[in-house]
Amino acid sequence: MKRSLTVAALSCLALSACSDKFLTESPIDFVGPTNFYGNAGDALAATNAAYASFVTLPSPLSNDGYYGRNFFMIVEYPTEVVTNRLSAGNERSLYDNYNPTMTPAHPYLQSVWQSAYAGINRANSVIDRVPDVPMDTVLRRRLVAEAKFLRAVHYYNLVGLFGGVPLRLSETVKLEDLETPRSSADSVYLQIFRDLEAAAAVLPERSAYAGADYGRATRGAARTMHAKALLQAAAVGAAPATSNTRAAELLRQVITSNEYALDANYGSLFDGSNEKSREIIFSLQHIRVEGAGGRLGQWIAPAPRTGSAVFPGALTHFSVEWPFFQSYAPTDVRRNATWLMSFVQDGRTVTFPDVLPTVASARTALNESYGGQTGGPVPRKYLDLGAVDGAEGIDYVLLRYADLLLMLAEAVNATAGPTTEAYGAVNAVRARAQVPALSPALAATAFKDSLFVQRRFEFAVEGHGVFDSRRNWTWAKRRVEAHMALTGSTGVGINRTTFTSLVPKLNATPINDRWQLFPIPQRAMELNKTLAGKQNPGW
Amino acid sequence: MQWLRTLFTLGACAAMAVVPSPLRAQSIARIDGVVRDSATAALLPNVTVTAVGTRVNIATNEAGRYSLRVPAGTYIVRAQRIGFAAVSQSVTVAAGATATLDFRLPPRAVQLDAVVSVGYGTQRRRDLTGAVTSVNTEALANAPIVSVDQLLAGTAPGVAVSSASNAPGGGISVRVRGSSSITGNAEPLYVIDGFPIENDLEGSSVGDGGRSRTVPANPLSALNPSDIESIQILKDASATAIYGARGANGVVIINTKQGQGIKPQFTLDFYTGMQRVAKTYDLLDAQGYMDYANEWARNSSLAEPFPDSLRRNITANTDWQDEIFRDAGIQSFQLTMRGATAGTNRTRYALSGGLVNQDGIILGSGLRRISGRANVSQQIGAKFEVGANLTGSRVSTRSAATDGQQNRNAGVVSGALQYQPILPVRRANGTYSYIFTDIPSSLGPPETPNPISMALDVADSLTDARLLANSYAEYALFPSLRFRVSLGADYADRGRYTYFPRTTLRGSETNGEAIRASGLTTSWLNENTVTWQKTLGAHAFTVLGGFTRQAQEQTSENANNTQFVSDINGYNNIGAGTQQGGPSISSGRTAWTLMSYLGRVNYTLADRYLFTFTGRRDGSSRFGSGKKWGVFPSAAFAWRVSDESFLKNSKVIDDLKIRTSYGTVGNPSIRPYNSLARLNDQTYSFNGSLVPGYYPFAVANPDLTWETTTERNGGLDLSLFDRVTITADAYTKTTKDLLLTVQLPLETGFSTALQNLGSIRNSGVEVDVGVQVFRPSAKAVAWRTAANFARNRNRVLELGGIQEIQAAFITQDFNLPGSRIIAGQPIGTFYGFISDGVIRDAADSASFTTLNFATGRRSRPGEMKIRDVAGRDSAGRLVMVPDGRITLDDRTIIGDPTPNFTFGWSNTLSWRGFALVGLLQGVRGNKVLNVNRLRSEGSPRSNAQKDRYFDRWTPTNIDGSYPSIGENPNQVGTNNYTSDLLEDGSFVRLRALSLSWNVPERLLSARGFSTARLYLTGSNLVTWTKYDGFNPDVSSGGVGSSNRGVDIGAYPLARSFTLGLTVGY
Repeated sequence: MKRSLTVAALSCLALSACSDKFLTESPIDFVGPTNFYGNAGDALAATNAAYASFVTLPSPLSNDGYYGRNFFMIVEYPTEVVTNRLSAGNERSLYDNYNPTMTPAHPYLQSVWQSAYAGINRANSVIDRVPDVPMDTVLRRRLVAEAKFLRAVHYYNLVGLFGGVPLRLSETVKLEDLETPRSSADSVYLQIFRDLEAAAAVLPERSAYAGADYGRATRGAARTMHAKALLQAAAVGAAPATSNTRAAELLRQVITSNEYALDANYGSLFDGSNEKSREIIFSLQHIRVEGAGGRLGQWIAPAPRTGSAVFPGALTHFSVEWPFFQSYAPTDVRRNATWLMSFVQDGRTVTFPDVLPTVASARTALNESYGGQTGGPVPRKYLDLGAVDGAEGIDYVLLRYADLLLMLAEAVNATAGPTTEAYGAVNAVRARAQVPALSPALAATAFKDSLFVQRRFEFAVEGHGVFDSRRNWTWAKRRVEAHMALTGSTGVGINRTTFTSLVPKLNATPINDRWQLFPIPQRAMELNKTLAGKQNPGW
Repeated sequence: MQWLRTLFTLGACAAMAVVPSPLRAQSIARIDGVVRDSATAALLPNVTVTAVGTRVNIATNEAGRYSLRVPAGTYIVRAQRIGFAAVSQSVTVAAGATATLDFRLPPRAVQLDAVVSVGYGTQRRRDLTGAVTSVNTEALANAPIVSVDQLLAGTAPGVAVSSASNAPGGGISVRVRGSSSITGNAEPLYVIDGFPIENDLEGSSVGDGGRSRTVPANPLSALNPSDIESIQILKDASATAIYGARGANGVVIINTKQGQGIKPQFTLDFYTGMQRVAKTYDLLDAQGYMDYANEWARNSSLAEPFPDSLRRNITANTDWQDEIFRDAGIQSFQLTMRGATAGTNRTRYALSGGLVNQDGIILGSGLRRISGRANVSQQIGAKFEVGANLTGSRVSTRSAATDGQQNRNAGVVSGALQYQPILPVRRANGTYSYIFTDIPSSLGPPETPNPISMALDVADSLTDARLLANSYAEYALFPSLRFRVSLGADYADRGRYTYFPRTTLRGSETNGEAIRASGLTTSWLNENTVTWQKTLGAHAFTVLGGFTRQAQEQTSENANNTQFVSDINGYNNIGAGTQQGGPSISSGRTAWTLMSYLGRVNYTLADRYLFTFTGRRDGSSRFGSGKKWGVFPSAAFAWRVSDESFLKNSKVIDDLKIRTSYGTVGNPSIRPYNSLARLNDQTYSFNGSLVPGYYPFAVANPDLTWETTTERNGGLDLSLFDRVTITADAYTKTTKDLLLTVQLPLETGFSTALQNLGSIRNSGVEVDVGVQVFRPSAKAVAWRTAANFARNRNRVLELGGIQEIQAAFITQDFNLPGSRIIAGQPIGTFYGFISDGVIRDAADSASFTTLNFATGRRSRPGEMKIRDVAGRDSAGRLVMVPDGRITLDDRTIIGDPTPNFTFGWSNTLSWRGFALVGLLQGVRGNKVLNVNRLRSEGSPRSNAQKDRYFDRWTPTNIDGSYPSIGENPNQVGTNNYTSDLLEDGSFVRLRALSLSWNVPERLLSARGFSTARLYLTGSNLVTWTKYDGFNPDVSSGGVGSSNRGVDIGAYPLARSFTLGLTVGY
């Protein structure tokens, strides 16, 4: 009896000792932090996923929530370049026509905000965890630098759209300290500068990467992005004016690296045929595989009124604004490279006539010649006819050499006026587009405004719209208001369709200055109590 | 809590000391005697005679005789049998001697000495301190019960049973004392022969047959109800605390039949029956439908879809309900052998084999179960006993798609309600008709597949092979100290194989689609307990301590393929599909473990004051790393008032006991690994090639833990005149730390996290009354009646700062908003517009001036009056003040799917060998959302109910109860419903009415038969209800706590008649 009790007691002790193990859960059919971040492969996979945050965001986030659609809608609609051809009250039109009924509850604001932070969390995870992964030091440092570049891009988007935002710089690993207070725009930009500086110090130049790594962030990309953020910050007063000087320095460094150049063929940059052009500094990589491709097709492709769609589910949600379309210089190669002038539908080639003297003839052209589609000509950029939604193969270009040149001109002009260097940069871009050189000896302000007009033509539907507008707000407001007048009910709006009860961009002149920033999304304010009372002015 | 932990550890250590000491040679003595009925002096067989405090017991034989072999000594010997009061007598017997001890048992209508299982032990009913209901299965003994949980409806107060699907093998959802979880599993814990089984229907279902919304199959259908000896339901915290973290939803203890008697008894049980759909919709015929469609077109300013020229050519007049339903057979065959040997080394055995074959009332559906059971126990000397309960079964279900959807994924029932009578089942060329192409397109017909093609051609087969084995060894070190060790295993191999051939809509689009899903669940259990029982003067103790461990592992595989060369092989050769990119395949594996220390002290003072202290300390792998262990204590006190001197000799009150209890139990319904951080995979590409990626998908919550329910219970047990028993209980249970999916600040990079927040309260009363109106006697009629009643009130107290939780859409076809969980309201209320009937005429219209956002104008005569309940203030905030406009803000709470009360009433009339047994079951005050009517009262894209057409509003019939024929008049805008679709789900049902005849013994004994019984049973004969649809007892939304009480093409209830025969040899 005594012996059995001893045996029992001993087995109890043994049991207590192993009880922790007995009750410990370890992932067996999924990946968790305990069985991940263990080697170079894991570190690479974590970094790859940070890139993927621009392309596909899984449920409950939506693939449409960021660069799949909503980002372009809130960035491009408020310009005079495109319209969505929907009625005035439609949730998409609220941006298009500066509709006063727009509220912070708009779902696109939330989706862009949430998607950007989902991407930031992925980048933070790399920045926090990869330094502890046993692996090749050079690669390890590079991966962290890549993540810092990606984090900076997300914060650049956030601060440009919403102003100062909460700064989260480490991965969310526990359910504590979840509510981060809003930082000032200055401190967000400061963090962006810091990240890009650190990234540029480590990242290889484009040519130093192995071929299989094409698409990763480069030193040139980090410097260009840094310059971009400096310009934006200086223009909105979130950084000192000397930032322009620093931006020019960085851009010159990229130029002298001889890694990049203007491409002779503008249109090839957006049709998938020239994705490794020396002009491209950084692009989101897309291939024709579901989940790893682009998603803009169904939003930009022409929706047929009759016959079959040229792209599955096509909806014509980015029609060119007619006055803008008309304002291209006749020689400008960018018009036909940016807008779809011809396509094949049901075995028939549909062509939009080059010259349309009147609105009536344009309407006729739309209804009869242009495939009977609804709305004006649609973007050709990023339109991968023949692919399916979510598996479109054309890369989205975030940074390219023409941008670098126009930014250089802008930075130089801001500090030293329109110097030869500034003129040279602008005219290089104009020459490639086959438009005449800029009138010489412009005043600094006129030079700046012409620069921004040029940016509209050069970067239409590339995700620069409201960022550019906010960098030169008075100019942008005047220009968009003028276009609103033109497209009004008595004007030349041809985007009116059976869907449309009002012509877009009619509603709200003068444009309210609150549109210099979008409101902080309602849901973000509800869930993060520290944002209470911190809404942007006017919203 | 340190002392508790120490206590548990000590208890467990004691329990581990189960090493038998060598058997000593003993001096054996005998106690012999006969047992008689004290009223009639008849000899009583099957009386259990026990030497109290030992394991020695035996049943009397046919001649009422028993013989016990015991070591020499003084014993209290007790004789007991159902229907009689137990009698104990003392006897002293010397070594080698034989003492004679005869008993005379007084007959009793009221059973106080009946033994009930309380988890890790048994108790006499008179000694219970907690709320424990023994299910009265007698009323359903002759009904064709295929699954155990069907026994619970109407037979136990406080146990609400709703059929998630009435399909053979379909899921049934059980709530003991209301829903105390919002997102977690709220089904009770089932303990089958000591083996706890978490009945997580969603978690254990394998595949969905390719349908995204469907009702999971019922895992309990593996257990053969004929094998069941007793069902006990532990309800209050005192009773369930012994199951600790798993006790909060109540515990259903099921014990199967054990060997008894002396000689082997063979029983053959056979029944055969016929089932038919209990109720159908009264739908328009072809002519009526075409009138209806034409009127719709006229009202919508469209051309008539069925002009006379067309009408002449339409010859079909299909009654689609007739086509999908059939008279379905059911047969069951069961052979049981039970027996025991005499003596100290007694063997008891119960073996059974059964076969059930049930066709469903919908074409193509059915169930077949083969089951076998072996319960064996062996006594080795007076101290040692080993035994095993083993059951194996294989359930094969042929499933016909029903429930859940209405358009492309609609099931057979939805399809039959939508398909118009002008469509033939098959076209002239033999192919199935298709509503989408065969109905004039101006009507905008839905893409609903042909219901007959779904029923007959889709192969959807589920198999569930299960082996449940639990073996034990028990050793009595002293008569007062017993050790028990058990080791059990549960093995379930489930599969679901589905094939959509080309003749079906889905198969035609994919050139055949095959889905194979399989899952294997293995669970093992080790329990070690020690029980010490001692009476010291006026103090009686029963102390239980134990240590248990359980582990479960689940693996699953899924494969899906399309583009088959031909339909010949169906789902059997999934590799033959040529789907682009190959078949899609996935697999998974999860596991959980549970380790527990348990203890219970029953202390009785002076046989009148009863105390029970129960506690369990559970450690679960599913809880977060910081919250692995929880302690669940409870205490109860009962006072046997009737044993006080002032009542002891009462002629009126036989028994009166007042009970009260308080305690805390848990619900561990966290899925494995939910507390862990998780990464998901996602690809990106560089240089045109895919690269793998992993990103943070879920944030860890090391504090994730059980839901805690604190329950207080007060009750009384009363019996009067040896004729009437009353048990009444009142309770309040508050559950906190509800598992909720909480929205995180967007900046965290995550959307949601599972957290313990919020609380919910259930409170209610339960009454159970039994009356022996006329006692059994040789000549006259005997009548026993039993009624039970339960009322439960459910309130969500708070949701951790969240205003409300919206359940998933009710159907994906219409994105109908799901039920809402709102603080201050009952769980899962329906949310929609209130409709106040039809606007009769211009005067009525003038008084109803609200603008309707869906139409952009004021409503007109013949349209619905939608109630304006809310508006917005100048700051845009919602205020509950009418604003003259109908907008989405005017949606409000319109009903509660939970009944106000439930009741059951059974009656047994017996006369000579005849018995008539009936069971009424009722539910009152619940609302059912009849989504079927969305279509049958919508537009002629579906067929309509006769009522809806003939009682419609027209300018000449302004008192019509339905709105004028128009475009979906029962919806406001798209994707919203009105209170019009919400119906009173109250019902009273004659669940079973059974007449049986016991063949007189004199006709049998000559041929060696011991019993023979013939019976005829009608099930679900009548349902009194206002509900319009097939069956108000419905839950197409499955078994969760939200979206209950929704009817979307649910599998209808069957009415059945069975004829059965039971023969014992």
